[in-house]
Amino acid sequence: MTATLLAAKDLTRHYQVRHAWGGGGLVRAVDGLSFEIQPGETYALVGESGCGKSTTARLCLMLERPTSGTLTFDGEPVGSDRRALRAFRSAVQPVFQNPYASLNPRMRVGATIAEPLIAQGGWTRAERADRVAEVLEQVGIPAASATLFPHEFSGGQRQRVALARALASRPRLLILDEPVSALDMSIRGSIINLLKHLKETEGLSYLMISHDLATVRHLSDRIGVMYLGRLVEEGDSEAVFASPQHPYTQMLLDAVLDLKRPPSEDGEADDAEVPSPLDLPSGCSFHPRCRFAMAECPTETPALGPANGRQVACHLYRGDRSELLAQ
Amino acid sequence: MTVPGEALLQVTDLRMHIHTRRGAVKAVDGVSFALYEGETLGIVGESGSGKSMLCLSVIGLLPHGARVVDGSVTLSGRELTGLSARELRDVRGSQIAFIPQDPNTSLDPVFTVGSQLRETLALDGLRSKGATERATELLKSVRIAAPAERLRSIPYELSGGTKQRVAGAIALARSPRVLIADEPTTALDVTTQAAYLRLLRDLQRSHGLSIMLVTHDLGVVASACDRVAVMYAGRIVETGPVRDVLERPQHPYTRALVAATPSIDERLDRLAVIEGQPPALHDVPPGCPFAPRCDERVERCGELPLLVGSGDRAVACWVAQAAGAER
Repeated sequence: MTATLLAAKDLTRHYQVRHAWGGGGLVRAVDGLSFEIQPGETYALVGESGCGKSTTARLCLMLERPTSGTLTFDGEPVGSDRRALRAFRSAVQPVFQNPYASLNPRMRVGATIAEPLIAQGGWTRAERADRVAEVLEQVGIPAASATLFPHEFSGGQRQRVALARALASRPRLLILDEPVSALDMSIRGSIINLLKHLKETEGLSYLMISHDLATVRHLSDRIGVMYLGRLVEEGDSEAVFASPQHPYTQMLLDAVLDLKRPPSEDGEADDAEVPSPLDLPSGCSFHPRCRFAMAECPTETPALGPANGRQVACHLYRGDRSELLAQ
Repeated sequence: MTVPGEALLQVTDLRMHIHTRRGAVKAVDGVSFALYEGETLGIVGESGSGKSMLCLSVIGLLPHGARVVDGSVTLSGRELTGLSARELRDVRGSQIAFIPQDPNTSLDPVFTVGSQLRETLALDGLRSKGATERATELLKSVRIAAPAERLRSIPYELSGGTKQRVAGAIALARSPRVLIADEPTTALDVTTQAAYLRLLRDLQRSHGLSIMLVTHDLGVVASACDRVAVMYAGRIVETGPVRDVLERPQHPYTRALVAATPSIDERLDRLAVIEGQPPALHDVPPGCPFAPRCDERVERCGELPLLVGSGDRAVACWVAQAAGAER
């Protein structure tokens, strides 16, 4: 039995917004989110823009403090004291979406990669140089390239450099925020393969944030589907992709355009919009877009509960309503 | 599948060069294709393949330093290259319209939706009440709810999908026959993307539009296009009906691109990868530009292969052409 690596419990982040010309309110970006990441696991959070997945990533990196709820890393609550927080920051490293923006254009990539080591402390200059060479080789870039600047690399290579920087401090968890979305199709495959390879050789865990469901399917072990700040479905990634249970997950997977799928002529027309986060619908926030919406949906917020071997937050799976789903 | 009628837009051996300090960038290097009545032609390629520059060359909106050095673009038999700026302005919008990629930059942030639509309608002499009526109608045709109220909205008040619908409404305002859309759904969520592409289909049927859809996403091509042209290093390397090309690609680049695109319907342990980088457009090697990355390279690839067709397919590859001749 291995210990859980990262556990989020009732994680909540609200933002008070106020417009200069009046109005505003409370945005519940993340609202009572609980999930766990086991060692060696890739956990993916997916959802449309505005569902709170990036806020969750920032909370897990402690770039943002939760309004309420707790984050536990390796059994210890995160953020209790400065020393523990420093250790946490070495153990949890981010890789951001756009390697054109995440690397400092005026720093040689070797210096960028060595920066987390300086922050971590305890490394001599020579040790740092060795480590930089080592991680560059790991991501498939010649160690001699440490003296180059970011503009001398292509997009795919830059993402490799960003990955090398994240690996430098020997982290245990990488937070991957849309790690391949900014890259060209022909480059994505090689980065996805590299991420898989590093996970196996380095024993890493990943928290992956993405809207690109095909990439998620190739990388993730477990998946959490978010809608307006809450998890609506969570489970084994293959099971969720094979038979999505929550109506939102079904809609999301149906909407994916895939080169191997024939074009759908009619399809469920979903011209409905994601509701404003300032004015969430009552009850289940998905009910205005849901084709199964029932009487209790606008009044009662469904909690995550077991359904067909996973967790689903939907009234359809409470009581005996399976006949509705068969339609 | 639409039966090809008359070629509405005919592009022949178009060459557009951009002058830079590093020499002439051959962004569009001898491109020929036809857009037939009522069809959607997908132009697919990676960044730097010249697909956006091709659009801009066709509608004569060239970036600074760019010049069409050779070739012709005819619309309903009328030559567009060499027209004066004034003459071109009359053609754009009324006969050939453009939807840019990001509605956040293509819509003016300080004017209402209504005033931006009326500005376009005024070109046809439509003003005051008539213009407002027509603007409302246009918003309705792109399936925007409460169109009369949306006329008074400022772009920031709208979601990404709605903004892109407004951009579509502006493009349609003067009833063009050809619509050029440059990555119209790249900035949108998957759910919104599917709805937008369906809208384009419906508009195509109701307005008899011919659409040139530029994208990097083979999924978009598969679901929204009748025919596809694959671009690499400023040239078209393969064209044909979408299903044919995606299921039986002839050019090694198309084959590699299809293989490198992860599908949502299966999980692979390793994704196929295209080694190497696309060439820099100011320094394209002689011969076939894909040859340095190609697994099937033969001696003859030192010479530039031309796009040669048989039936409705055409391919620019010595190996594929030889195989085709044998069959």
